[in-house]
Amino acid sequence: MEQGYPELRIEDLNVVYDTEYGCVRAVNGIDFSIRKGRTLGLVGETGAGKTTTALALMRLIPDPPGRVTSGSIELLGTDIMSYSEREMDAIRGKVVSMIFQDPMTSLNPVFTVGAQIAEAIRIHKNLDAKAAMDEAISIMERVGIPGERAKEYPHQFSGGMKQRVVIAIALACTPQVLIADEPTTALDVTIQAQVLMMFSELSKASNTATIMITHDLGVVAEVCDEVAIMYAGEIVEYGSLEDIFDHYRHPYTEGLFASLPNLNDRNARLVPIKGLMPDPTALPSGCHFHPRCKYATKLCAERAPVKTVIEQEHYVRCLGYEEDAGVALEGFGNK
Amino acid sequence: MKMSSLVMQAVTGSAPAVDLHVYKKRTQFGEVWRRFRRSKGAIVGLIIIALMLFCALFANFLFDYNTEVIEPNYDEALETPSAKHWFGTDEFGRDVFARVVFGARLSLYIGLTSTTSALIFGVLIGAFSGYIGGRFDSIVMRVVDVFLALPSILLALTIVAALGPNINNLILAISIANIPYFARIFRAEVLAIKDKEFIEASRALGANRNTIIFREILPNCLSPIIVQASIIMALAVIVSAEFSFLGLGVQPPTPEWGCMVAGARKFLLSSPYLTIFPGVAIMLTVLAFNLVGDALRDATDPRLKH
Repeated sequence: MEQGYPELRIEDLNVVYDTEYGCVRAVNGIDFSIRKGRTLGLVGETGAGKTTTALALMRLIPDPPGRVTSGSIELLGTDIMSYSEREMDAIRGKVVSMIFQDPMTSLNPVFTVGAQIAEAIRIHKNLDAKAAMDEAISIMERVGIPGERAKEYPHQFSGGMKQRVVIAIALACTPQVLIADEPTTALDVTIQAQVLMMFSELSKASNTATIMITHDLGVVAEVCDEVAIMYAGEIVEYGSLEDIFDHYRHPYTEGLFASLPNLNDRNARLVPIKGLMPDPTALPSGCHFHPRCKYATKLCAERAPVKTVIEQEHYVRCLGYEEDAGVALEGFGNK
Repeated sequence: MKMSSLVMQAVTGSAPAVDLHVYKKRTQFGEVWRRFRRSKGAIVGLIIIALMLFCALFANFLFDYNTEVIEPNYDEALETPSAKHWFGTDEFGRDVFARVVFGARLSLYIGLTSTTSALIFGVLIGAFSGYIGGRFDSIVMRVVDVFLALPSILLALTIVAALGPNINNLILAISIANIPYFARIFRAEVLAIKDKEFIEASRALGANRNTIIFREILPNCLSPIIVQASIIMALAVIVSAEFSFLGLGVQPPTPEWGCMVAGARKFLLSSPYLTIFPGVAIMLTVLAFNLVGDALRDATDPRLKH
């Protein structure tokens, strides 16, 4: 099996926000790596730390109140944590680019879309205005927008078209790493499918390493090669698409799948995960998921689980798989 | 089906050639102009400004400054308006029309230079203060508050009194008195826009601070700045007339409108046209700038399109 060089490798990333109400531990010791042409899905509920992880990768965490307390972010083999702001400006958009959640607000309302794509090109390439505009138009054509619409303003575009523009801007300088923060959440379901398809074709074609942040397992199944399930700032389960969808091991992952409607059995009741995300200023002791876990034992409240490798890349963070813990996940997998 | 063919194009990179002429028909300027000219007031204002500008630029082709505007001619003193002297003559026998025409040059010069310099400094202060924020912002804004706490007329009076009454000090005084207004307005605009997602998106594209302030934020704040500039422009014309009226600005015999009104007030009852004509000139100029400013605000706002 041929495995490319990892474009991005993150080790033990910790991010905290110092607020009036205390120290919010948004990301707690995350590590993953991603290779050329592959797509990693970062899945989790609202507040799991997905967007914070993404912003940390771009070094865009608002500081204050945010702080990366430890960890390394290796981009193409060099740690970007030591880079200056100026060096980061040169990387952002060129090597690593980001697509934001809401296309309605991530375009500047007073410039034509063509000008905005051209601007993104001119930040990193030494082109004159006309050459940049011509390139912008060809990128627009690639994402399925007629070139003559380059002279129109964002408000003249529909939501799906705007998201195409945003994707065009992100891809303008053909970045090696692309972070897509819920790129289809704000769109209609029909448009979602179109945009997703175009998106994955384009990133495959240019061999981009992509991080797809989403809370929609349908999107994950559609475009991802690897999946990381996040809970309270930690990756609780990580594996290939197949590992996660067919052989999931973590009770939280099970809960996520159980809360999806089942097309084959429409009388089946949806099983929600009880409770809410924990207060990030006061995370539960032991396993952060134990207050909501139906298999939780006394030990789960005391001992924090570590990574347990199931096979190859597939790992899980749950005491149920630690041999010396003696926690049994009774009835796991039966709906 | 259509989608997948587009994707195929995307993948194979065989996008059709783009006809560059199709989208160039409607330029941004053309678009603003199209919406601007729908306002009747704007056109009236623009005509008045064009007229004033014409007077200002070509005054010395119409009249000879030394013989007609400055030099007394006591034989024709205090004549009523006639075919020869359209606006009559003043107590020194000088043609009032010629003086009003030359007055346009001074008023526009003072208004433009003082507004422009106040705008540039105000925008710079507001931009960096708002964008950098924190302690820097607090300190800068407290200084601005101090200036705002003083009545701007009083501030300008103090500056002119300290430096002496002449045109350059008048311009300096008007600019300094108006910088805080531009700074406040622009800072508020920057604060409203700097946390928008498209600013974050542009940071994610690698844009640095100056690019973000001047290429992303500034164009979003143009309409309030244009409106403010037109109001300040009108105000500057009034203030320069006021100061000259009080003897603190332009000194006679220079044909400044305020200065002319001051000189003519002794003849208010016997020869009212001496005050009316320069007074009307001041009024029309101020009105014109306000009309144009309002129309420009509407025309440049892309959210009010169509």
